[in-house]
Amino acid sequence: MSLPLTLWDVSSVLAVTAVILLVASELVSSHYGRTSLPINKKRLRNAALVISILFLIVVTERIINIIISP
Amino acid sequence: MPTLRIRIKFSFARITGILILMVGITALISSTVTNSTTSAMIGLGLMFWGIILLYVQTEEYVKARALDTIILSAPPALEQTLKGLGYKGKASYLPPRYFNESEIVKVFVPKRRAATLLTPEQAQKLVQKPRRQTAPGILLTPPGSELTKLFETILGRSFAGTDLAQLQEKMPEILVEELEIVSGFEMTAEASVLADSKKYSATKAQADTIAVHIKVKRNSRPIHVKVITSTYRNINEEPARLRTSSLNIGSILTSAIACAITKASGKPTTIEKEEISIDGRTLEAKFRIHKKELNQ
Repeated sequence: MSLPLTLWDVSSVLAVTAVILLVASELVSSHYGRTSLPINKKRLRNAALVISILFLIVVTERIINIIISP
Repeated sequence: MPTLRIRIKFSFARITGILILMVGITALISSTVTNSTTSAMIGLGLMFWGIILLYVQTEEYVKARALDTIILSAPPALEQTLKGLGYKGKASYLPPRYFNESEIVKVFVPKRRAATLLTPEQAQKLVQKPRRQTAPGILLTPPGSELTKLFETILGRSFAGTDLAQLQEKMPEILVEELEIVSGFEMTAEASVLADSKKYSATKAQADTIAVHIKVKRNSRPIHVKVITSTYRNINEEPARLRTSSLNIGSILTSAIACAITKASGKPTTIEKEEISIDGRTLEAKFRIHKKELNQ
């Protein structure tokens, strides 16, 4: 009984989530004067950044694997 | 005996977040039993989104109607009191150095319409002996002083330690991006006004040009501020409706900006003009920084 997921699957989920969150975070940013949305924009931006960093870590891990593997 | 009733309110976003998270975890667990990659992918995705929804909550807010009701009665009351006491002059914001303090900004409202500004010595005398009969006017805490303190808390330092160039740069960040009470903020000042402030870093050539420019300027220099707001609309509408103000103390937001300008410039400031559009969305104000105490 194990999780039928590879790192590749996780990275694709992370990539899609990161793109959606980054775009959403930019679109609702109060920097452009959108101040009527009562959403915590800082937290949204933080979540987008964390997911993006996680994705980049997975990508780095894959690149290292490709380089190291014979 | 009165009973205390507590209603626990779950927001729609919170309930949705919890549901998505639970479905995600269930799908992920079931995928290990059924060995289904699709189920695992769906579970992982839902789990991520559930966590994100729970983390990215709506911000704490007060309903605009309630806020308006609480705030709106104060400025007219102040105006009426001052007029009732016979103060007719134009108000001016006095910087902290007038009171030998680093943080205090006060509004001076003269008794006579044609009265001039106070000197620091007169201001200190007025603080020590605020006798109404002989005093040239009254010193008040500005209506926007607490809002200015909030600006400073967000900025992380006092406006007294900044200059007008920094104020011009930071105010849109504070009002639009941090507090989100306005959707647009524009502060324009003549280059000489910015250059004359305490810590302006310019090359020697620039500084020389500016110094010459300052010499030919008059004793006072204007700053124009334009604010576009949707959330602060109702509060702005009220002073527009009650435009009986000849004292030029300003609405709460204008008063807070005046306090910030006074602190940053370290010079007395007056609100020359405050125009609020009929719908209350746009507020335009003109401030004047006085280079010298007028009755010197």
